[in-house]
Amino acid sequence: MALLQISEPGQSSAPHQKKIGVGIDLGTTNSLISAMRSGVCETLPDADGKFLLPSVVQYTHDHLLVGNTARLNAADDPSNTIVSVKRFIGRNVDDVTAQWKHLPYQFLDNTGMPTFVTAQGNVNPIQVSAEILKSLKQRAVETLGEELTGAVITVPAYFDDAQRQGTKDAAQLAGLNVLRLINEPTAAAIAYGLDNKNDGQFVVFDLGGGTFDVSVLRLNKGVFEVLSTAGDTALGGDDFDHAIAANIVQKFELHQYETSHHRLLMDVARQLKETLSDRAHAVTPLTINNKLYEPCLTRTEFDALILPIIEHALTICKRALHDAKVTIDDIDDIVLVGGSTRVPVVREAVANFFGKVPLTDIDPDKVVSIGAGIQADILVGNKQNDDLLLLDVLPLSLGIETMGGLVEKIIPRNTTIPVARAQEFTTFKDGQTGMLMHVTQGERELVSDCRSLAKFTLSDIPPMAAGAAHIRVTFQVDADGLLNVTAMEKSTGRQANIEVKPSYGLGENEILEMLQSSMDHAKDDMQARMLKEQQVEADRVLESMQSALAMDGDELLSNDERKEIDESLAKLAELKQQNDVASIKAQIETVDDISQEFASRRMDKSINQALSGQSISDI
Amino acid sequence: MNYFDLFQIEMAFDIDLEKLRTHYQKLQRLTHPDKFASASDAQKRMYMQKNAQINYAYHVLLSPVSRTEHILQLRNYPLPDANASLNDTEFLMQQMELRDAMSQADTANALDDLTNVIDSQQNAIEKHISESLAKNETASNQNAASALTKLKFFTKLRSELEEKRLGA
Repeated sequence: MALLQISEPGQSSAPHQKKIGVGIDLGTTNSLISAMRSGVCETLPDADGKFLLPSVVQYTHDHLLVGNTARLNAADDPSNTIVSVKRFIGRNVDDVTAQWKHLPYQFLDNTGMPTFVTAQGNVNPIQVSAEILKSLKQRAVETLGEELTGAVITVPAYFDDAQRQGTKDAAQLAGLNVLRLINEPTAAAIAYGLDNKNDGQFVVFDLGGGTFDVSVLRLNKGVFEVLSTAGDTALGGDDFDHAIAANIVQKFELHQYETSHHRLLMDVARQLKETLSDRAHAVTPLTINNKLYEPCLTRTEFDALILPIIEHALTICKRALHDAKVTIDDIDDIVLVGGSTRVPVVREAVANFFGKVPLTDIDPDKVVSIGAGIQADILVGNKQNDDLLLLDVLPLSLGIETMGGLVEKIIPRNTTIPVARAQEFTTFKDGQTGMLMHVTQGERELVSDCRSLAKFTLSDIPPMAAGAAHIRVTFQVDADGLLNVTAMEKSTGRQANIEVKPSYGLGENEILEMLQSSMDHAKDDMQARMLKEQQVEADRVLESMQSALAMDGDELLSNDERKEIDESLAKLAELKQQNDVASIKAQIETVDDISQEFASRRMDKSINQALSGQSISDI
Repeated sequence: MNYFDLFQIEMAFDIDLEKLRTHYQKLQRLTHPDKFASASDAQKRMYMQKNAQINYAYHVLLSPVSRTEHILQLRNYPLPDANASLNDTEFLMQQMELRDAMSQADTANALDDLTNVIDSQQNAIEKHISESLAKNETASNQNAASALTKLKFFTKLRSELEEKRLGA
């Protein structure tokens, strides 16, 4: 209800009130949290001074451990210690085990969302991720000494709807107010302050442990526009390790140990890789069945091993440039993100491909979290309205299943979000009142080659002759990249009811139940906090409405309309003094409803003024 | 909704793209959800819908094909059926020849040459649409509509050519 923001976007309605926005990089291997401190965005350390929180959660029968200790225990208690949970978000068990074999977990079953069986009972990936987020949240509250206003959480640009929704659900479960999900490459671009540079085109090359993302961005007069994004959710530094491990197996003829000593071989491979980052030659001892091997690798050999992987990444870069309708010569700067860009041959290959030395001065582990922290500070309203504006895109096309298992695209990839597209459907039987719709995400033509996002059941369609009902279904993607579907029968104007069944996520009720059960312990606390929150919200509504009325009330409202709004505000002011959370909340909603038309007229007025060359501050 | 009105630019095939972009950016600054991250749900919804409409309108006006369709729609001129076949035998022959040339073009130079050929023909069609749409008369709208079908052929050909260049 911040009507004030029409005239002064981004500006806090209560400047005296300090607002804390944090940025969180919820990574596959490690997670970080950042916030603005004395005008600079910094990653926040834990009590031991460590910035990286290993994304590992251990469920023993009497403890729940997150981070370093959990990671150290992982080898001894593998089935209760969940590592790299990000790979499971928005996925089913088969998806994950097809890619990563030898996982030590016990799953409840293999369909739908994965459920880990642990010493503390069954947990799903959303709950595990929420534990990591809770730990980061606690770190921030302790370091900053203040409650958090909200958080910006980063996701790989190539995350689909189910993975984004899962991430947002986890944050909600952790008690975080999610200001926005932003894409990791976009966050990196913010961290580098590319928005302060001259207008131009930029590329962010993000090669992590398990995923590769590339984004092409354009800066024009302070508007930062993502032109295209491309990637591969199964391409990363892990593949370098695999290539080295396979090479060791080959050299020493260790084929019989490949499965039984998989973890060990991968560890040795990683050590060799890391040594080669600043040396030309590496040796790491390897003991299998009391026999010592001494795998060695030169930089040249390593470069040759991973060349095909790098070439694959550069092919994806070509695709991104093509989709952005720019050429290599149009690119002004390249930013490197992700631990795997420390590998010298990766840097060289990127520099050769683009013909420019890439920017690397921010720690590639921290850069995403820092960018998210800067954006969070803007979104909570700590900056002036001439700050950067970020326009991001939908990374993967959205479609629906049609006859014969084919996909019809509704919203193509790289469309600027938020976006809404409507599509019309009709019934094919007399008196048909229901319809099933299957929404997919991906670029391929067959449903079986795309991700299944959700199945929607439309009901309450008025019974008519076949083909007479025209159902207009609107697919809307918000600024977080999340899909929402609504449907209406056109001739009657009646809203059709939609029930969503996410393919690999939680229904709305399940989230509510989990929240409820996690809050039961602290009911009284919660009650007091919720009252405080509603009172603060009521103040904000009152303040912004008064200011909006003072500015535009006379011009845009009839006397009757004005009177109705004034009365609703008076009632809110009165209810605010009392202690009934529900009635304050209800009255805020009433004020919202009553002032909707006023808000909409103010929006149109501001748009007209902006384009006719008059700025609002001139009036 | 008239998207030319939304951006306050004159309704025509030839538009000032720089002005369109400037106005788009101004509207983005006023309506983007990031400006309303801590607003009420009702406000967020209202601005998100407006912002989505602005994104869509911008997209429609940017592309010559959808811009032409939009003008014809605003004039209540029926759009050519997407599946309707074209009666212009000469044009269809020419398209087949271009497709042949594309399947045979296997060097960067050959692809460049073909791109130039396609671009110049596409420009001629766009010029024809522009002139036809300058008047709002049934005959000229009809001219624009049939040229639009040809423009779609070229747009498709052009994007396939770009795909081929990417694969090469």
